[in-house]
Amino acid sequence: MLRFRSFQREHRFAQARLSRLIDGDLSRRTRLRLARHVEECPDCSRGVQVLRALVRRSGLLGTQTDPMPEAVLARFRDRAQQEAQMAGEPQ
Amino acid sequence: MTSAEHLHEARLIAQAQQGDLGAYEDLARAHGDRIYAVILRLVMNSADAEDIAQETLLRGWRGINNFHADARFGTWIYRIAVNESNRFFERGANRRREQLPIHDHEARLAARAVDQPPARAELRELEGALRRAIEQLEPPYRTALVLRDIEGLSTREAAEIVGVREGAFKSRLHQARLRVRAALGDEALLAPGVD
Repeated sequence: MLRFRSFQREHRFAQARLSRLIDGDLSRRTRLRLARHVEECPDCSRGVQVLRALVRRSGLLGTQTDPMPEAVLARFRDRAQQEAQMAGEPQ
Repeated sequence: MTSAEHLHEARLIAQAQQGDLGAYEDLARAHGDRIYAVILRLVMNSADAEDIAQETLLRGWRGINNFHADARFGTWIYRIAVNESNRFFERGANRRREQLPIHDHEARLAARAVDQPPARAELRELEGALRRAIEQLEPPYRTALVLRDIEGLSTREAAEIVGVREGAFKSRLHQARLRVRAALGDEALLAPGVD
């Protein structure tokens, strides 16, 4: 019973920190504590695998970007110049 | 960014702060694609993204004298872009998105997928599902995931852009990932050929 309670406590602790674990964002002590639990917990072990896959996939989305349309810059320039004219400042 | 690029950027900022619109345009060009990419991922619609990008550049120009040399220009302008996107959400202005359930970027990818072999098509399908799951996130969670996982910013920089403490940002990011995981399912994410 005590062992079960201890497992549950460690499970809750690990579940809340899986993202930080895969981001390498934990102190050494906490990382080791989580690693011990993840090793014996299939649920957390799967969680680590899945979150890692999710982060990898998300990162690939970042490589598929459209450039900012030139029209955005042109429209910005027009408005900035209009504002300057209204304020009486030559550009 | 190399030290020469830093120097060049610092010079452009100084010129822009003296009222040189051309120098500011050079800065805008250098950061424009990334700003636009972030906004597009947040609002999921190119027409809205263009309007917000334009407003971001304008606000940056109006406020260029508030920029301090000890900060990073990229972080500063990103923050304006995220604030402008939040303003857009607060106005409830994302009606266009409701009218276009499959946004234009995804539609273009889907069109390309037609001519691809089955394995590539499956990957495209997963990417589409991932985009839709991200689109379903509430703006604070979507922003966390876009900045950290898609744009690849550090936790510190992303938290600074969002304007929250690192601890709060990490918690938000974790929630965002859990929601996307729940929407996609573990099997889809761990399917062979995904990596």
